[in-house]
Amino acid sequence: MIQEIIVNLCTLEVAVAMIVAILGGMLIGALPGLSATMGVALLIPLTYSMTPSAALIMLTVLYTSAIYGGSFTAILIHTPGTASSAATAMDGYQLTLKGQGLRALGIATVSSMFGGTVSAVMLMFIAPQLAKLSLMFGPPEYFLISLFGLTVIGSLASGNMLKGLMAGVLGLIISTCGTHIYTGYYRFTFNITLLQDGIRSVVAMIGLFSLSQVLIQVEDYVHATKKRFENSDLLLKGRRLPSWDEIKFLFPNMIRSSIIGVLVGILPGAGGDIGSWVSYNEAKRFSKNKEEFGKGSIEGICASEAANNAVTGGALIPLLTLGVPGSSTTAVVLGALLIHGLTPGHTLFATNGTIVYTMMAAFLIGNILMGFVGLLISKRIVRMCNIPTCILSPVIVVLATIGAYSIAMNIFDVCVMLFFGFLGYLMKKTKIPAAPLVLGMLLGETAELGYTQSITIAKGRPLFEVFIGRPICIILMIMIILAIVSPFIADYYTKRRAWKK
Amino acid sequence: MTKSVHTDTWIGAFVIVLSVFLFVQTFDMPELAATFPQLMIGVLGAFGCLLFLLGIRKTIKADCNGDCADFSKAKYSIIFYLLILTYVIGICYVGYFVSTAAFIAGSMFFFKYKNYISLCLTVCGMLMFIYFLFVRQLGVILPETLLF
Repeated sequence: MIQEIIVNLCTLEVAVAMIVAILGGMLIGALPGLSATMGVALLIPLTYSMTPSAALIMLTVLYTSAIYGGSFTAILIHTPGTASSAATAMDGYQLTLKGQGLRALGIATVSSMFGGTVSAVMLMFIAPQLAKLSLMFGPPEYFLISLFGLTVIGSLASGNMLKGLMAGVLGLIISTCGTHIYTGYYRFTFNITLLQDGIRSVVAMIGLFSLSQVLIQVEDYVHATKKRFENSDLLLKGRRLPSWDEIKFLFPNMIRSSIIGVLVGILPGAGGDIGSWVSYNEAKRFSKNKEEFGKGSIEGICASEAANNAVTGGALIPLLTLGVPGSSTTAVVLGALLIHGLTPGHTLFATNGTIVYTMMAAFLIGNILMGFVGLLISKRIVRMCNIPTCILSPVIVVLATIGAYSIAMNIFDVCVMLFFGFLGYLMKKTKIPAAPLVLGMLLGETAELGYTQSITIAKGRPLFEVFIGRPICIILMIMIILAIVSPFIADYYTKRRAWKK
Repeated sequence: MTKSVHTDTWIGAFVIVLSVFLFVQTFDMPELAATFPQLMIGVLGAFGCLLFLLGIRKTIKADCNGDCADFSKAKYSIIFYLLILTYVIGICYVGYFVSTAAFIAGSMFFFKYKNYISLCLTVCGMLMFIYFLFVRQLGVILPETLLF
């Protein structure tokens, strides 16, 4: 079989598919409003005339490249290209303001490459075992996973804990806007028909991150026509490729974040955005430089990027082994599998093993190539952040507008983006962090669904009894308690050490 | 001598009012639909009360501590935001490409940018990029307008 895999890989069709996927994926990922899901969906018709191997290779490599591409604009202009890069924007942009955009891009590239490669290796060797783990997760586990994700809010708030928690809860409330899934009741729609579908978190995110940042930049009206760095060589400050010491320093973080990403990816419905936030939080918890997070921490960028690319391989595991997509993008890939006559599940490996393993091997190679291509083009891309505000601001607004519009081809989404843009601006001025609000919106649906279904399972019993009877729930509850309590314990010991000194 | 009220007081008061308003909205909802929102609104209201009390304490102590809102430079941001609003309204009535060209050019005039060649290149470059990527490749159907 190994010989057949190598023969399948060494074809012009596969090479072209990989190049198109890497470059196209990065472009799609970099543009706000466009997503990996959209990119994969658009490429499916192109794959009709291709062999199944080449088709699957193109789609899966585009998936991982698009997730990586979101880091470009997140780092350079504080505009996450995808929801998964929102965590990267927090520290990446701060490094850009310090003239270290190239360094931030390099770390993001290496971390993404590492995370994607780890997930590809895990996909190849332990996919069936990991798939069994995903079967053990039910509604109570999903509810607790969402709660655990919400503990991230505490670390995102950094110094404004109360305001951060408030923003997070507001995000949870916003996520309830729309049609209730069980009763069909329209909640918080205020008789606006277009709100019956709810508020899309991607649209809100574009407004909260990119539009609000434009408004902040415009405050410096006097310098709007000047380049941010008069000496553009400052932009190229720092190594494109992280130094060996930096890699050694970040290596444990990369491993941990990649594993978190794979595990999150295995869970259907939990996407790269959740994986990146959870690993960002864990990186901060384990870091000796916690105060740097949010101010340009390379550990934060590394954690977010390693995790969100690791999710891509993880999401393919339940898809290939159980026929259950691990994310929205893999749901589209499922369609491609069926179009090409491949039925996912345990029989896929027996009947079409060569095709599947060829795809996995190409996914591994694609992640590595994506990293090299990213490092090669990073010097060109980083010059983007030296464009004066007077040009960059209207360009970002135009891209944000078309990005928000193109999600559902509805001008109402643009209006929502404008609302959240102004809200984000006000939040920045009043020192209320916006990231927890986004996180609340992302996790709200999963949290409510898990909560409601857990109540149904409980059948009148206290909810706690349901959780106690499930081993994974017990582990998650312990993790939640530790996550809530550990900042206070760490703070107590830090003060005690300072007092002793 | 008058003391200025700390921003947190205003934010806390707004959040309390918002929580009450949203909670009232949940009265008409079926029980299953209302449970989760009511729980979250209650928590939000509690946070709002806490922030309000902390804001009052900061006002009494005249303690800004770096977290007071500063809107002194907001004038240009507000004007630019109004420009963006005009742009979006223009999309609906005049057409996407006309509005976009007008917005980009108008923004650059707003910032007193005088390099007209760069302005033209930016406008043309953006329009072509959006047309070829979004309209031709991605098949995005732009909104129908009165003119186009």
